Amino acid sequence: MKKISLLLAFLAFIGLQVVLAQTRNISGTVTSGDDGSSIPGASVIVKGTTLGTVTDMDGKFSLKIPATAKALMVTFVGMQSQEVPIGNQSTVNVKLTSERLAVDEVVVTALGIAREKKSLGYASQEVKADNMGAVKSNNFMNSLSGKISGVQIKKNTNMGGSTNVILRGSKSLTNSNQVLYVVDGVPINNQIGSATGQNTGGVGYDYGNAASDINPDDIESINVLKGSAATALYGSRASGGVIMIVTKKGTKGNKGIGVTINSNIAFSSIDKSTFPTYQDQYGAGYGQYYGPDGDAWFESRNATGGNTGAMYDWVPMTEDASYGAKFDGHPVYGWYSVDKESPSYGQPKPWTAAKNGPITFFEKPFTATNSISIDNSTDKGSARLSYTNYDTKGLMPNSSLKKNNFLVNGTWKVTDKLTAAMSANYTNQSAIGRNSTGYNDNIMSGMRQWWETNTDLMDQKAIYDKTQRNISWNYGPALSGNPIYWDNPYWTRFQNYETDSRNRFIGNMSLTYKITSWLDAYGRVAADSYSELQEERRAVGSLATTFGLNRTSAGNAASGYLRRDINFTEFNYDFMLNFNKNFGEDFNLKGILGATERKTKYSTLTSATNGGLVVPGIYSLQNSANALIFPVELNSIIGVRGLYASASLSYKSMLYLDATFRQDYASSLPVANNKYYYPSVTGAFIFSEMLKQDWLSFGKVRLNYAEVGNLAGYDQLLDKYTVNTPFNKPSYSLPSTKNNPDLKPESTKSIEAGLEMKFLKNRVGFDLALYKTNSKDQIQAVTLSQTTGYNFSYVNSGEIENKGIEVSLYLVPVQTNSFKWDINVNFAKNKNKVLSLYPGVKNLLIGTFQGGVTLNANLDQPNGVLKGTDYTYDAGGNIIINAANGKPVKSKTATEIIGNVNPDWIGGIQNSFSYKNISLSFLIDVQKGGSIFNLDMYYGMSSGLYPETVGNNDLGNPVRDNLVFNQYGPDSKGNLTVGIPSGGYTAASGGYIIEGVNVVNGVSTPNKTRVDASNSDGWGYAALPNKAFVYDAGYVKLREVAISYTLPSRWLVKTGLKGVVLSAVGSNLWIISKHLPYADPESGLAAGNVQGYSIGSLPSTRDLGFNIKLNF
Amino acid sequence: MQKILIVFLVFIAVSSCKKLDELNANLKDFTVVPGEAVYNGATRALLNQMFTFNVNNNNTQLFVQYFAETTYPDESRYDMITRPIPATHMNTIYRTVLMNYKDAARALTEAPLAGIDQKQRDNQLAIIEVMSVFAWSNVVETFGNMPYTEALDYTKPNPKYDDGLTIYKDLITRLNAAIAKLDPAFAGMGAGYDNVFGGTAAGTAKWIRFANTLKLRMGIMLSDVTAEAALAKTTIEAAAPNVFNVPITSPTTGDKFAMTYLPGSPNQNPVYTELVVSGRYDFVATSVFVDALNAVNDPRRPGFMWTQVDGEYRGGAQGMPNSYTAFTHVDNAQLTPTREVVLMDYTEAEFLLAEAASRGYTITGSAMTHYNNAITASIKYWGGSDASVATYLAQPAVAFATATGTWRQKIGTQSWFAYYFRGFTAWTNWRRLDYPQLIASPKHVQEVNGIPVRYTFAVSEQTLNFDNYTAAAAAVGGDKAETRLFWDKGPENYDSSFK
Repeated sequence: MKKISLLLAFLAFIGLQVVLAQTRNISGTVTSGDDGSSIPGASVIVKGTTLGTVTDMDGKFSLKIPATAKALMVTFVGMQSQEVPIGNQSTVNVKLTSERLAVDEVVVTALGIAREKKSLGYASQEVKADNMGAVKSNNFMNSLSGKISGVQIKKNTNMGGSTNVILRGSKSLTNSNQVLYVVDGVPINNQIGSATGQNTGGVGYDYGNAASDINPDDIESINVLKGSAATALYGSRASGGVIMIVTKKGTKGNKGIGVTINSNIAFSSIDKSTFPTYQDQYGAGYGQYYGPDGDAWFESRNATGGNTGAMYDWVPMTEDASYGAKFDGHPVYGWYSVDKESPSYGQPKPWTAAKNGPITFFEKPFTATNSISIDNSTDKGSARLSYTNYDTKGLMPNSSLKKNNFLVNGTWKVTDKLTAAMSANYTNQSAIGRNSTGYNDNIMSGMRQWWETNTDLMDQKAIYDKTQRNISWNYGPALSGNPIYWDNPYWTRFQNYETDSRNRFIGNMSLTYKITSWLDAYGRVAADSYSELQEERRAVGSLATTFGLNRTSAGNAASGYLRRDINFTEFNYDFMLNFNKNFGEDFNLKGILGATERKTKYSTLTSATNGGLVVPGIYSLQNSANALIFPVELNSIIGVRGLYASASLSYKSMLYLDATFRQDYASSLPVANNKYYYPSVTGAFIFSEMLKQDWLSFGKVRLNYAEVGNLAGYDQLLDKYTVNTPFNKPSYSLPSTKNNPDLKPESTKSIEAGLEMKFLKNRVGFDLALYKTNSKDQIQAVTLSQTTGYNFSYVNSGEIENKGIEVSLYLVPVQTNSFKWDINVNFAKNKNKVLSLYPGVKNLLIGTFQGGVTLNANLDQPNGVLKGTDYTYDAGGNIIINAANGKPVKSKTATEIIGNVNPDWIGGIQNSFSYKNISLSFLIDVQKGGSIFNLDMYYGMSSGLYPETVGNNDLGNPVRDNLVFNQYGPDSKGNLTVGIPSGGYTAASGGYIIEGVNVVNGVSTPNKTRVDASNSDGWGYAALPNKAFVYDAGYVKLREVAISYTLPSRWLVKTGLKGVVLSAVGSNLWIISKHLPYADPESGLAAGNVQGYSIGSLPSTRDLGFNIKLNF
Repeated sequence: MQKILIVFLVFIAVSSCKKLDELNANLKDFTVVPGEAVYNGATRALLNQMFTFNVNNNNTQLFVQYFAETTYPDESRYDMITRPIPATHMNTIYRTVLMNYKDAARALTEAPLAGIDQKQRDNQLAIIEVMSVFAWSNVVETFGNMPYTEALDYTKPNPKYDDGLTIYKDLITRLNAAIAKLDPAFAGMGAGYDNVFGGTAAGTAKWIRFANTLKLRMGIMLSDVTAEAALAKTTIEAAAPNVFNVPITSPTTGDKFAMTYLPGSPNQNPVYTELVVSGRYDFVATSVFVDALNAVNDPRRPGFMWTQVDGEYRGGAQGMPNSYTAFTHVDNAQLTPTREVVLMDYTEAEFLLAEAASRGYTITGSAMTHYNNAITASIKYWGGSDASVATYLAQPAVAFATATGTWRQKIGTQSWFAYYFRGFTAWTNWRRLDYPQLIASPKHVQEVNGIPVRYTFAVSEQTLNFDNYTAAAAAVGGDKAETRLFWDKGPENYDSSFK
């Protein structure tokens, strides 16, 4: 903001430099009391006159003043104004102290219009570049967590992965609820690039979201417009809220060009609380049923794997669980004994837990970000050029992501009346080896769900490095050919890797013509365009998995190549008339008349080999074993034309009234319904102006009402056939979704009230917002009974209500000349509820997860409840246990509500300290509540990976020992072998007891039946309902700690440097509290409406970055 | 400088003055396609669903204990919720098959004749009708009551459930009408669209045979329903003379509804896809099935593509995890992508006739003759020789006169052998005849107390169509996998309880 203000101030005062009969000169420097840095662009005015100037890049000013002048008024946005007596001095040095949430703060609102924050009748909250953290994340949104109330940010752990950003709760059942990103007034694309199915937990890659192309180093400030009233002028697409980004611009320096060099390195290491701990007592297998008689812990083969001669114990390599034999060190043959190139070919190894477990697989991520920018500003205009290079190595072997970003922007005063501006941003991103996600073919699912604790990763690495072949710990029964369930993880990373690259241009040109002193005309053309290539590989020799065009089981392939070409272009045309006129002394009227049009074209072409590759190592469609299946083409075009008007009336800087009106005309709606209208009204009353109390620095109430429409997606009107691969002759099928030619626009109505107060000369303050949003006529693909012949049908129906409260608090407990302590607190609570769906429909299925768990919008419930099997309970609320096997009796159906993915509340506390040139801040980020279903524990407990599945039971015996009964009954052959639980157990029994009751004839008695944990049926999905694996997704995180040191300017006098800032920032250093075992509750699916599912995610990292910033 | 502004504004104006309405046109997809091509897609989808081994789609081969699982025995323990088998089956049959048949019929009815005879068009529509009846009969035999009169209509999002018997009777009426409409003097769908009988006039004759075999089966399905004895009798006796009648004498001869697949994905044989392409080793033969075949030294064992262990056929424990190498399993090397699947054949027709004769209906030939014909055809189909047939039939444990038990047990046991690889046929047949005696997996999931004798209604119906679901659940006698359906009235001769 500082630099924008500078520009504004500069422009404002250009006209004031009137030559007067001077009597004397006065000069000086304006610096910041916070950090001693000079303040460029501060205005210095002779009190009682219009004489004045602005400070230069070094914060220096020089002014000719009349003899009568008594004092200077020094002001700067974000700082407390100061009146400085002149006396006889010819030099005046002024220290300004910063003013939190300054009254005159200027923020950028919809359409890029700068407004005084105090005049706004809706909530907005800003984060400046220097509070965005110096750890360079691939996605700038990740550094906003906890800093803005009401924004739920869910960063996942995928390299370059997408970040889910939801403002004030999810409002739409099936449309994207993501916020709209607007850069310098122009909306930019935020396509989430994962293929269908990936973001619902299917196999695939998380290609990130396109808004991450915005270079964090170019961001000056971010302003979040939360409610519909704030975003109404953006029309339909802003229904999820808007994140306004202002990029850095050229600023004036009296020594000419300003140069900034920023260099940052960051190191990451795994947060071990987000990765499994493994039990180390039992190895591979599922139980005691191997060997020729089906009763052994080990397979029986000879030393080379054959069936003749002397037989030995072999690891059950065809399994991917650790419910096998106890580690006892006796010699056992395994995968290492099979291959002739293996150093222990034909040799056994002791039966022990692996020395190098899965955690040794990960590498230490390292990120280097270097940027240089040059800027300048003259009377004729300004310009800024910047280049940033970002290079990161990921957690997984063979993963990296590189970005190059070029930005040029500038303004040019063509004439006194005509100003031209332009911005051009080119980004090139390329990634290698993004991690696979989901259930199948995901190394992490293997390590978290299906693993043999005897597998030594370094041995797997050694054999891969030596042979470059897929020699896996998971051999198939034949001990040759492809592995059975899991490839050697190093093979996967170095052979089956994906690559992707994106070239993107975002640019705009605009002209502003000053027609009269109170009327401007403004026109702009903006383009956002990218082309992206995603390539997925599967090397010959891999195990077969779902791969290729249709990731169904029919699409299983042991090798293959897929490419997806994506082209996106969006043009936005805008024309606006702006007027700004005072009426009398007390009234001001600002207004806009505007017209806008956007045309968005998104096309993809996906093609893949069929039936595997012919020649290994050549990843080309021509290398397909069978004839290619038809490629999948998508060519979606959406056009929206809008007309809008807005008027802002103010009275005495005290009362503000705004109204907007917009009409949209959208191509994706039926002709009869394709025009829709929506208004907004906002009001603000600054009561502190009226009360004029010392204790009250500022007080404002605000109130607004807004309606926003939303259009349909592309091609939801008319039915189209699905084209199948020809079966001798052409083959078609009806689609699963019935389209609807009578759709109408969605509408959202919202009201919001706010109170903002500051006390004690702005040292304490709060901003409170209350809102209620009702989103109606949702365009949704309602789930139909499949007996209708369709799975879904597009309808306009349903209503979701979001109600919430947002509070921002700040406090400056200590403030002296050299020391300052700031506290900022953000809190937001949102409650949403599905008020209606569709006549006769009580539930809308949003996502289906493995394990039979679904994510739903259920009538009268929050949007996003998890359903699955629950425990059953007696009248006293005790869990009912089956007396025969000791396991809980599951609910009959999988439609019990077992969780709600929406958090109870989210918040953050930031503490900042500054002492002279040093500043320190830390941020604690909290999410309370919210549910997440964890498939890793669902399967992994049953596979016996986790320490919870070993150890001694209440009788002091290993829990995995067999049950030993006091009493036996006859089996079908009359032998006394059937244990009778009711007779009790001997002191030597294994197994464990689940607390609960047995119910006989309606009478509950405490459960005494032990669960047999001698094989994998005793835990996890085999024993417990889905509910047992739904965890509280809440967390408390030490999100960020930053220390920075600004070198005193006197040290730099002879260096030619104007400023040097050194900083160290740690992010995600400590998860102070969480409930989800062995994983980060934030990690999970890609961004989108399907949330609340944790499956095979990468562990989180602690990131430590070091930054040096040089200003020349 | 105003010129710049004017040029700029004109540019904006020109660029944005086109009509927006046209942008929504989908230029890549089809709104009108040939009905034959829709029929083609639906038929392949039906056959895939009937024969797939995918545990997400069809576990009937596990229910009748042909196969046990290796590492993950959940489906052998009748878990139908984790992988929502009933919903998947219902979705496939209603949406992918029946809805498309309905649409194919609509498209063909509306399409101009374009050079073909009206008689051929009638044949095409009758073929669609026969296949629809087949699919519907499967729905009723699997679930009992299901939406029928209000089904396949998106304007009725909550269709009511119709009584299973009422649907079944209507299906017989529809099948009779379709048979009457089929004219063997004219061709049908056309080659490539009809991938079963070839689409020629000769093919139409085979369609008539197939439709009658289906009719015979539907009549037999009603033969234990006391109230429908008359309908069963007329249906069976009318169909019997017209069923598949060309004996199978080798793997490639005789009457059968068989479809051959293609070499390339996704049109490969579903068994090949699941067992070979998947790269998995999930199934072994059960000891129940293997021991029964071993006991009569069954010559089909090598034909079943089975591996031996230590020189013998050895089955795994049904419902339990098993070691793949320790037990007999399908030798993947013998499967091919183009292998045919057999929906109905001469063998089944003969077993049905044997049953009809045993039940006392008036048909040509004795129960023993048809029984022997069926077994002979089955052994020949699986590659057995004349000599092996003779030896086999001569065994007292096989011969109709001397084999153990009632005709239900004799036919039940031998048809169980013969329907290997045809999960639904085998499961329905076992439920009707109640033989062989199968013991449910002792490690069954809690929700299912016995070998399933029906699919529970799809869980999705409980949320999407609750009132109708609830009424239907009460009408069938409880929405449980152990609830016997209206046609399943034979003596309960299998163990459906657990210790």
